[in-house]
Amino acid sequence: MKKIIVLTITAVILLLFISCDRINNPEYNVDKSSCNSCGSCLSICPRDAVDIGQDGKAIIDQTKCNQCGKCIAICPQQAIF
Amino acid sequence: MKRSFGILLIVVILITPVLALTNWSQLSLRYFSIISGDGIEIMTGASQDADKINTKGKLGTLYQHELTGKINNNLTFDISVDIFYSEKSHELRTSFLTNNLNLGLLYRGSKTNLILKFSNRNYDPNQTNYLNLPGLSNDTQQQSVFNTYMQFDHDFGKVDLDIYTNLRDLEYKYLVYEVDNIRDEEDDEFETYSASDYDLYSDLKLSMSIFENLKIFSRTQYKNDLNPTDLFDQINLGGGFQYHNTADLFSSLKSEVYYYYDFSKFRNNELDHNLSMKIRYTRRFLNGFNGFVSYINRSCYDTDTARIYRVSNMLRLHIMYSYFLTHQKNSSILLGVKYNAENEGTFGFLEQTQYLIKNIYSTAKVQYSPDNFTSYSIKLEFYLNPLQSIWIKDEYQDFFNLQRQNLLLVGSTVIF
Repeated sequence: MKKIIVLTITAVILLLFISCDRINNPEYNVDKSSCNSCGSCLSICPRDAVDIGQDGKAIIDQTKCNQCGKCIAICPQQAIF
Repeated sequence: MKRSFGILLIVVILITPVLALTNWSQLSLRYFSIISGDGIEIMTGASQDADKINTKGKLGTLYQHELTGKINNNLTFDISVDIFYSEKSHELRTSFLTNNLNLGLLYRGSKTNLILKFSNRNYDPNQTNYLNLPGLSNDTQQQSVFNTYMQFDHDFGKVDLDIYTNLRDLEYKYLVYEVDNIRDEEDDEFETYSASDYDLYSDLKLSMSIFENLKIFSRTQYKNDLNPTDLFDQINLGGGFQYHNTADLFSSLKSEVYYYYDFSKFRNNELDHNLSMKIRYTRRFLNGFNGFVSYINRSCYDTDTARIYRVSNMLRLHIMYSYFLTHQKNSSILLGVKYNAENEGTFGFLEQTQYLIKNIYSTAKVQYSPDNFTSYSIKLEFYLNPLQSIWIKDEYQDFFNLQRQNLLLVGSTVIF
C-alpha cells in the first residue's frame, strides 16, 4: 500500500513537471552514478567550476559555472545533466 | 613467475606514452591488481577512456595507481595517484597535464563513519591556459588545488546525521601590466604574482525514519567564498523524503523528492525554488534478465512569473540478458539507453559478450549518441585462467562534424 502511494505521488509530480517549459539559464549537475571520475570536465572548464569530491566524482560549483556547456560536450559518460 | 609478470606489466604501462603511435592507432593497457592476504591492495593501470576526443597521433590517457590497506577492523587507509595526460590540440582545453594525489583515512564503526581525506592536484604551468575566473580581477593560471575533506555520519537510531566539509585552496598566478613612468615605455612589462583563493563547502543533513522504508530529511548546503565580498557565497536550505524498499534479493526501489530554496545573490530569481526528483527501480529475474530504470527530474519555480520551469530530465534504462550461465562460458547481451534531451546527452549502446571456443570470448559494442558520436568496437579476449587474460580491441569512433578515428588497443588483465 505504501509503495503504491509513493509511486502514485511521484508519478503525478513527474508528469506535472515534465510538461513545463525549459528554463533559459539552466544549472548543470553531475549524475554520480554515471560519472567515471575521468576528470575531462575538470580540465576543460574555463571557470574552475568543476572539482572532484571526496568520493572521486565530479562536482560543479554553481556560483562559478557560467553554463557554457563544454563539460557536457566532453563528458564520455554523458553524466552531466 | 606471477610476480615477474606483474613487474613486466608495470614497466609496459609506464612506457606506454613512449610507444610509437601511428596516425590511426593508440595503445592502452588496463588495470591489474594485487590483493594480499593481509588486507593490502594495490591497483595500477592506464585508461584511455579518460579522453575519448583524440586527434591523429596524439595521446590522451589517465594513469591510476591506488594502494589501500587495513590498520585494524575499523580503520583503513587509501592512497592514490592519478596522472591525467593529454597531447590533444583541443583548443578549448584549459589544462593538459594534471597530477592528483589523494590520502584518505576511513573509520567505519557500527553506528559512526568518519572519512578524512586530503587531495592535491598540480597543473603543469607550461601547459595550462590563463583563465578569467569569477571573483578574481586578473587573468589567472591554475598552479595547484588542495582539498581537505571531512565526512561524518552517525546513526542515532531513528535519526541519522551526515556532515560534509571541504576546504579548497586554489593556488594561482596572475599577470599585472606594470607601467614604468620613470623610464621609457620599453621597460613596461607584465609582472607575475602568486595568490590563493579559498572556498569552504559544507553540507549538513538530518534524516529521520517515519516508516520502515521512508525517511524525511532536512538539508543545508553552504558555500563560503572566504573573500571580503559575499557575492559568490551560496546557501541552500530544504528538505524532502527518501523511500528505499528492498523487497527481496531481486528487486529494489529507491526514490527521492528534494526541495530547496537558494538564498544566493548571484542567481536569478527563477532558480530560487528548486525541486529534484529521483526514482530508480532495479530488478533481477531468474531467467537471466536483470536491469534497472532510473529517472531524474529537476525543476524550479519562478516567483516573478509564477511559473514552473524544467531544468533537465534524465532517463536511464539498462537491461542485461545472460545466457550460458556456467562459470566458464558466461555470455550476455547488454542494452543501455540514456535520454537527456535538454543537454544533448541522449545516448544508447548495445553490447554482446560471447563465449567462442577454448577460453576465448568476443565482445561487440555499438554506441550511438545522436548529438555527439557513433562508436563501434570489437574485442577478442583469451583467458589463460580465470584470473589472467590478454585481449585485443579495435574501436572506430565518429565524432560528428569533428573527426573520425580508429583505435587499436592491446591489453592484459591479471589478478593475483
